[in-house]
Amino acid sequence: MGSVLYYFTFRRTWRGALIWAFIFGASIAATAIGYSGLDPGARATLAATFSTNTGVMVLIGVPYHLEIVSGFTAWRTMGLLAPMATIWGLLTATRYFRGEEESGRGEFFLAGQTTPRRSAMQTLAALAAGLGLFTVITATGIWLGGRGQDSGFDLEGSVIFAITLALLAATFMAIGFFTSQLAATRRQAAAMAGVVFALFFAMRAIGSVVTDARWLLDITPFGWAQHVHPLTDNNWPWLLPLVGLTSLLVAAGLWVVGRRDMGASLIADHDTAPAHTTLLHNVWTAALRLNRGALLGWTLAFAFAGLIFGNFAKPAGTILNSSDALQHITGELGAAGTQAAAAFMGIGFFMCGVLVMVMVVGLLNALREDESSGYLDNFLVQPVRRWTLFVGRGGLVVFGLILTALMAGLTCVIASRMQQTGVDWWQIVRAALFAAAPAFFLLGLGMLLLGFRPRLMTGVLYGYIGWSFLMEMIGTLLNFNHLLLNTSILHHMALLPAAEPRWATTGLMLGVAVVMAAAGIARLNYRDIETD
Amino acid sequence: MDIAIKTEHLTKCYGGVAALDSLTLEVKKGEVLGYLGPNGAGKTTTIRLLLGLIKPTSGRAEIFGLDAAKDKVAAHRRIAYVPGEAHFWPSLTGEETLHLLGNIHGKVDQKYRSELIKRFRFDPNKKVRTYSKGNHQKIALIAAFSARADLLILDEPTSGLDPIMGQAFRECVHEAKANGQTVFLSSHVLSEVEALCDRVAILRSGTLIELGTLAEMRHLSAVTIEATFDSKPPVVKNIKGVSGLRIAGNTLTAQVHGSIAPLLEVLTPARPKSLLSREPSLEELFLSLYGEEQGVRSE
Ligand SMILES: Nc1ncnc2c1ncn2[C@@H]1O[C@H](COP(=O)(O)OP(=O)(O)O)[C@@H](O)[C@H]1O
Ligand SMILES: [Mg+2]
Repeated sequence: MGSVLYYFTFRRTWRGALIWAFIFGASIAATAIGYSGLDPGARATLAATFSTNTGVMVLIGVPYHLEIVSGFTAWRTMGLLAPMATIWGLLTATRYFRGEEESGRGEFFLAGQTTPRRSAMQTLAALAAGLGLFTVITATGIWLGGRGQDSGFDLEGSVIFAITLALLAATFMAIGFFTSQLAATRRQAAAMAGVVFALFFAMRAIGSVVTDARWLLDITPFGWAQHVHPLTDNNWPWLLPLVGLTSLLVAAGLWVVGRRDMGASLIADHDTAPAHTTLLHNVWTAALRLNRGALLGWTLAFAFAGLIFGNFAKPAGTILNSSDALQHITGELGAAGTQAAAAFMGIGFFMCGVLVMVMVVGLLNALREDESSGYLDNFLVQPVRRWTLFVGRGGLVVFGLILTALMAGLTCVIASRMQQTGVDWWQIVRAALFAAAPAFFLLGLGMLLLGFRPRLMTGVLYGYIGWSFLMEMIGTLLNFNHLLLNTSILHHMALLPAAEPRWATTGLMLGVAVVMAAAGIARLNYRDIETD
Repeated sequence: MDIAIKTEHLTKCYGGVAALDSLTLEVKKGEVLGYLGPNGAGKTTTIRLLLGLIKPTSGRAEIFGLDAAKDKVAAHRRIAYVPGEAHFWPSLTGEETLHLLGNIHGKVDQKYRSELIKRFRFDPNKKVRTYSKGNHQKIALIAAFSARADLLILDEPTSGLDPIMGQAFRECVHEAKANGQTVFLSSHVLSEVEALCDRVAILRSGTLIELGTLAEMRHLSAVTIEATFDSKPPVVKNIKGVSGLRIAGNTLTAQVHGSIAPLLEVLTPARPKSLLSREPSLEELFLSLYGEEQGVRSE
């Protein structure tokens, strides 16, 4: 058997690693070049704006050394690229460790002389090799991108930056590896890892904004990565906790793999179960049953997020009160404490809005995979109208959207009551529902793509989220023209409950979504079903 | 009306290449039709067209007089289908899956279903993710036969089943026939079709090349003889009934139609080290019947 699995995995990972390395290297270089084009006056203004802008701090992290090219570049790109690196990491890991086993391809290897533990180690080694490649390319990109700028980036800083990103990815690969050992399906493993991701990210976001909660930065991988300050301070000892957590998770995962190998009954017990047939009546209730794990995971994640934002609204609002970020959000000066808390919640719901878009893409991708892997055939050969099936699946996503929004809103109301922020409960719930509007738009777009270009759907949707994100971050900074900014779905979100809802914009967004979804479903009703 | 399936110049192209080329075919009610062809011949394409999962490039198909592409719901009410590679939801148990499929189809013979579960030695209490390929196939077969549908469309249903289960499957087809159900059985194994079908349709590279009763297909029955010698095999070229001759080193392979005695008379004196006879694959059969053109290469 040797190292077949190693090459098998590496052959399929290196391309992804390379593409990500190029994207990362290029965007870091582009940021550096863009920033160094600014004159000192502009830089100072920029630094002043960013170091007081709570929204930016929530999304990117605590600013530092914004007046020099290397500092600004490292802060900003680290903040933007860290979530991407980690999501790539956990999706890759859950695919190789749970996806393979599920599809039965794993059995092929187990039939050989290798043990599950050895095959897991080979796969891990291949992923590590992919990350090694990623590190080299990214470091080179950073170093080359920094050349010719003010002071240039030193090689040490470039390498430490690349290693930080690679280690972040590695940490989440390890998380994905571990959840893959616990979960029964790839989706479950990815959902569990996704919840961990959301927790760690929320800790980083809150720690960045709330002074009393700064310590949160010290216990989340995103915080550790932020503390490294590559290119300027190069605090490489902060890489050690990343290495430590990764090793711990890999060791724990390997231990579980060994257990399962010895035929422990823990997991075998779950292989038989009495029949629960309540939801197995028709295609719609069955869709609910088959996706309930994902829905439950997301609902819990949003419930938690709402609780956090409600809880921290008051102390965070106090900081906001003194900054001009609030003015940005509400359009008014000198807001009272209540409104400051509302502004913080607004930022929280904005983030939930982004996150729930990821949920929508996940559920739509599940539908696409149901088609390509033949699960959908089981329904489509039955006496069921095809379009009702897709309306049902779309309806399930709508249900998930409303459920998660209400959940985030409700827990936020509860926490807000306990903290006595003074924000009206219905304003909070309304804010939560409005925050889901862009996700509805994305759902419509997804249905349209599923009808006309199913193979492109997932890529286009993620690309669109990324594009919107980029427009929000770069567009406002570089004074892009309004037309370009308008293409960003996030640009049309008002930060409720602090701001007034944009009824017309939101209504238009939902209307376009319904039209797109209808067109997509009409096409799905008669187009060829494509299986692999 | 006594026609279960009717196709007229049914054609499906992928990127200009015809996966199915102008198929015209009728299957009578109560008939068991074997739909035979090597891998890639277009069997699955035909079945997906009949089920309305894909739409024809040209031509049409009817199920009990209903347009297969337009009246899907009405047609599906009378169809039960078994795919060549069944995929069910990993998180459900076998029991739950059967329950769901039955509910959606709307018609289940519960008593017959319990009998089938026993006959196929299927343990329905396990999660689908623990099932082997054969067990996935059993779920599909049990669900399809217990629906007692007027038309059974089976796409290489026995792939992944062991021979004993193959026997159970044959029993089910016989029962379905006795019950007046129509069966459209695709396969790439001649013997399976021989044992079950009233008529056989043979497909090759998307084109229907033979259609008739088993008696009319007699010329198809052949055996493959494989003989290995210590040195070069003897010359067997002009012996009656021998075709598709191949020689690789000291091993000779050939298809024999009719009696194998004339061939043995030549082989035995040369003292073969080993002598094997088996059912030829469809590829071998086609090779011997139609030669190499547009077909399967020998090496
Ligand atoms: N979705 C598709 N796209 C392109 N080619 C296809 C597609 N489906 C089938 N084909 C081609 O059509 C031919 C017939 O395939 P199929 O019907 O699956 O054969 P069979 O079931 O007899 O093995 C094959 O050459 C196959 O490659
Ligand atoms: Mg096939």
